[in-house]
Amino acid sequence: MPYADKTLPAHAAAELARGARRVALGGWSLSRRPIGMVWEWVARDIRFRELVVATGSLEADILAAVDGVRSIRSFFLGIEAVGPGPGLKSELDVIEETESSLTLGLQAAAQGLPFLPLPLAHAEALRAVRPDLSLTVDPYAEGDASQCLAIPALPIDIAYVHALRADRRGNAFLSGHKAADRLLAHAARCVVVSCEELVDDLAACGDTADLVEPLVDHVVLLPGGARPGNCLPLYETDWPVLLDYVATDRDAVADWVLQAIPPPA
Amino acid sequence: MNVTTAEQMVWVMAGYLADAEVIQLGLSSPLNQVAALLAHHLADGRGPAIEDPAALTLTRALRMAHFARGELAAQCGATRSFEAPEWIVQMMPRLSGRVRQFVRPLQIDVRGRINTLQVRTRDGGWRRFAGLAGLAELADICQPFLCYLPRQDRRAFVEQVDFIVSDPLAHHAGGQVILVTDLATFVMTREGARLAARHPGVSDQALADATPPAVDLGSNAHTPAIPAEALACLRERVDPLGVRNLEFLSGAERHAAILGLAERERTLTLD
Repeated sequence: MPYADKTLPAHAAAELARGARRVALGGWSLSRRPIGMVWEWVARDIRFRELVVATGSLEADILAAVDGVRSIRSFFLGIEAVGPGPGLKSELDVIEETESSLTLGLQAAAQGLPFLPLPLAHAEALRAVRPDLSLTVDPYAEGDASQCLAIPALPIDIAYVHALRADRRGNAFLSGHKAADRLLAHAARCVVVSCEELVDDLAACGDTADLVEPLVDHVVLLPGGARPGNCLPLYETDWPVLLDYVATDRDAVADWVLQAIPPPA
Repeated sequence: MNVTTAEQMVWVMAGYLADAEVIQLGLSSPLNQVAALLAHHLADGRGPAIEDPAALTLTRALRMAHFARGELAAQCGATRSFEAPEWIVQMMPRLSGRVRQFVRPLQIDVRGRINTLQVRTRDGGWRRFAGLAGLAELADICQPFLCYLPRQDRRAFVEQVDFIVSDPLAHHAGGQVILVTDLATFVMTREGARLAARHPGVSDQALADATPPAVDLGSNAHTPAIPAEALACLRERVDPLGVRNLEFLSGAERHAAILGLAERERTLTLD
């Protein structure tokens, strides 16, 4: 396989999500969220059907506020201690998951399995709000414990992950909170890594790759791409900006994004 | 030395956390964080290990509470940084009976059942959030199941929740749900709910007004006073910035407190 330069401009990488069925964003709460991509989506009015986030924070709130997604799939929504913003306080379709069910759905997709079983004891509340989930039976167990919820595979069309450093071939070092980013990438048909720093050879920098080149389709240089969240050790969460966001009216969110968040470099 | 409601609650909560092998801090749970770190400090780091979701680390580092720089703080001295899937589906099931965490419900009922966040649906209604932040998993692996309410009233502590997110007693025949509030501590079992101890200065009337009638308020027990040494540890080493007070603030006061914490934490050295 010849050397492949997978770099792409931010706007071109953002366009890949237009009309997609299911898009995942990496990071955790306010750590390494690909907010730069959200900026591009808002600026270009790019919409898609479903957003998958392990913990839905500012990025989910913004996309809900601007109607950028039809539904959000997650097990947590909220911008930490500043509470929900205008998007999460407005009407939205949430596909509810537990920590386990979301993980199992992604693992099933990553492994090419149709579903993975979740013991019913873990999932009674989930079953009540997710009638689409079917029961299955553990053929090796006896009694009540044999009932499981069959968590269907959750294939991702495109996963966007923000990294501290990546090379042009797609090897990426995440830094800080690892979140569920490797699993999102494994479950995705297309993986886009945005990064604070682009290098020719990650290994030469002394980093061990969290995401490796066969997994990654595109690399985008996007300094500050997680602001106003954090990307440690380069920058930390900007709390005054977040407080300003949660006080913004829903109708003004698109303008707020374009003005308050630094445009992708 | 006046003890605040936050300090009173933290002291009681720390007592319930101290017996665990692992304490999970939870996202955005200042009182749980401070109580866990107090238990950790009082045991001089030889008590429970701390799982901190701010960086998904396991740590025994003796550190202070943080609000704005939680991820950095969680990394300091950490034994390991986990990926989320590893912690959720591989570690948590192994911790059954060994892990504790105080969670803050939106509502809790006399049978110990809880719900949390609600979201508005496109048809204008409200919907509880079923699997929020590991509650389904916690209900299965945590005993006793620990809850707190910074402000106990009849809207939060109810006869019957209108939507069940977690029913911690459903799969634990001899289990307990512990509820620590600004007024008292309660115990819920399958046999019923009862007052365990009221905090100093809480009157019969105040307690009755904020408690569902089905709860047995017959106990005369009072919450033990926080020892001076533990109070000093809390104020000076565990939470000198006052992270514990966040959960008692709202509106402009909370806004100002968040900005103040962010500014004060910014000047701290974390390594």
